[in-house]
Amino acid sequence: MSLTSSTAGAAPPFHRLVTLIQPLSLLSLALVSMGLIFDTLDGAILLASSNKKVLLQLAALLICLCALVPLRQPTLQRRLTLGALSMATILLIISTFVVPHSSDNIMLTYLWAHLFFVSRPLAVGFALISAWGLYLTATVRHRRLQEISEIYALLAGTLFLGGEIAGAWWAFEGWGRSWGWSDNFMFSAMVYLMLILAFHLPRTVLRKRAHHNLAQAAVLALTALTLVGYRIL
Amino acid sequence: MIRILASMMAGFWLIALTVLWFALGVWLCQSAELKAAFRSLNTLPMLAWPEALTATPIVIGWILVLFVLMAGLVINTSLCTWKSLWPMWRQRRWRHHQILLAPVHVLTVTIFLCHGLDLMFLHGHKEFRLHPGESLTFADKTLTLEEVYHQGPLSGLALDEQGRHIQGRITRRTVEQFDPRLHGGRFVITHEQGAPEIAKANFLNPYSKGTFFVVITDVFAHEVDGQWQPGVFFSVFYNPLIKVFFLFYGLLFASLLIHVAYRLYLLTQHPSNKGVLCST
Repeated sequence: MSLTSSTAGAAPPFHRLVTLIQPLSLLSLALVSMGLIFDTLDGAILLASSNKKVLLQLAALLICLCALVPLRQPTLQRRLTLGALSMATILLIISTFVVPHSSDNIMLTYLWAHLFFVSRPLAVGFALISAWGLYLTATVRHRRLQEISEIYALLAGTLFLGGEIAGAWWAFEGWGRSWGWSDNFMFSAMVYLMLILAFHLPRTVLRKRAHHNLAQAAVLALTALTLVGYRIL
Repeated sequence: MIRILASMMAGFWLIALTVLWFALGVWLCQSAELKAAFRSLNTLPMLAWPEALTATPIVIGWILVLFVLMAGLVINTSLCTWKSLWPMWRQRRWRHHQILLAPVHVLTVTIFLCHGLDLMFLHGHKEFRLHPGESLTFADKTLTLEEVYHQGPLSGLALDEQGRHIQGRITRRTVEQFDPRLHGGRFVITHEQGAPEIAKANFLNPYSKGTFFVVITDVFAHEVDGQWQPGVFFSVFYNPLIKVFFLFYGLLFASLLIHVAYRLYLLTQHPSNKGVLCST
C-alpha cells in the first residue's frame, strides 16, 4: 500500500477542503461532548461526577482532542480523524442510553473519589485512540503516529494507575483499608495488568512491526471495551 | 533457567495468565457465597485463612495460584530489571528513551512486596461500634466515645433487622441524607502514659497520630425505650506501612509521568518525526 502520491506536490482543492473540515468536525464533536457533560451535570464542575453518562461523554471528548494532533500527512490524518469521529460518536450514542443519576452523591464531596472516577474515562479515551493509531501504523509506516500512539497508551496506563492510587487512598480514609478482597479490586488489577500487557508483547514472536502493532492495538482496544462494558456501563 | 525467567516471553505469559486469573476471580465473585468468602479474608490475619475457607476450597485454590503467579512476576521483573534495564544506568545512557523504565520496574517490585507484607502482617482488621459514654481498649490505648455528630433526625440513621442502614450503602447516599462532613464522632483517647487526647473523626476524614488511626465507617442510631440513641461504626488500628506504601505508589506514578514527558520531549526533538512516509 502506498500513500506517497498524496504527499507529492500540492494537494488537490478537495483534499485541502477535507483536511480543513476534519479538525473542525472533531472540534465540533468535542464541543458537543463538552456541552452534553455540562448539560448532564446541570452546571456542576466537570470532575464532580461518578455519573456513567458523563464518563462516556468525557472519553468521547478526549478521543476527539487526541485526534487533533497534526501528522503532516493528509491521508493518514483523514483516517485517524475518521476513526476518532466514529469511536467518539459510538461512545456518545451509548451514553444516550444511560440514565443519569443524582449528582448529589456523598462521594462528590471528596476529591480522591473524583480523581478515581475521572481516571477511567481518560484511560478509555487514550486506550481507544492509541489502539486506532497503532492499527493505522500497522499498515502504513509513520514514525510520528507510532510514537504518539505509544505515548497515548502510556498515558492510558499512567492515568489508570493514578486513579487507582486515588481510589486506594479513598478506601483507606473511608474504611481503613487501601484494598480488600473483592470483585472491584480484582477487576482493577486485571485492567491495570492488561494495560501493562500491551507493553510486554514478545518481539521474538511478533517480529514484524505490523504484527506487533496489531497485537498491541488489540490488547488496548480489548482493555477499553472491558472498562466500558463492565464498569462504565 | 535464569535466562528464561528474565525473558520478555516469560513476562508476557505471566502477565497474561494473571490477567486471566483475575478475570476468573471476578467471575467467581458473581457467586454470593464465594464473594462472602473473599470478603471474610479482609478482617482475618493470613494465618486464619485456611480455617475460614474450609467450606470454599475453590477460593483457597484461586489464592494459591495467584500467589504463585505474583511470585513469578516479582522474579521476572527483578531479573529483567537487573539484566536489561540496570545496564542503561550503569553505562550512564541518560538520553536513552527507556532510561526511566528501571525505576518504574524497581518500584513495581517494591509495591508487590509491600502488598505481600501488608497481607502477612497488617491486613486483618477489627471493626467496632460504640455509643456515647462507652469505651474500648485497643493495644495501649483506651478510647471513649464522647459525642456523635449527625444532621437531621436520628430516626433517619436507623438500622434494619439485619443490622443494615436504612439509607442503604454509604457510597450510594445523597448529601441530603448523609453529609460526611457533618457525621462523625469525638473520642477521648487515654494512654498508659501521657495525658488524654481528644480525637475528632468524620466519615472520609479519619483521626491519625503517627501510625495510629481511627476511621469512622458509618453513623447509626437505634431506639431504646422510645428514645433514639446514636452510635458510630469505626476501625482502630496501627498501620506503620501505609505512608511508605503510598510513597512508593506516588513515586511510581511520578516516574511514569516523567517517562511520558521525556518521550514527548524526544518526539518534538527527533528530526525524522516530520511525518516521514513509506510504503510497507
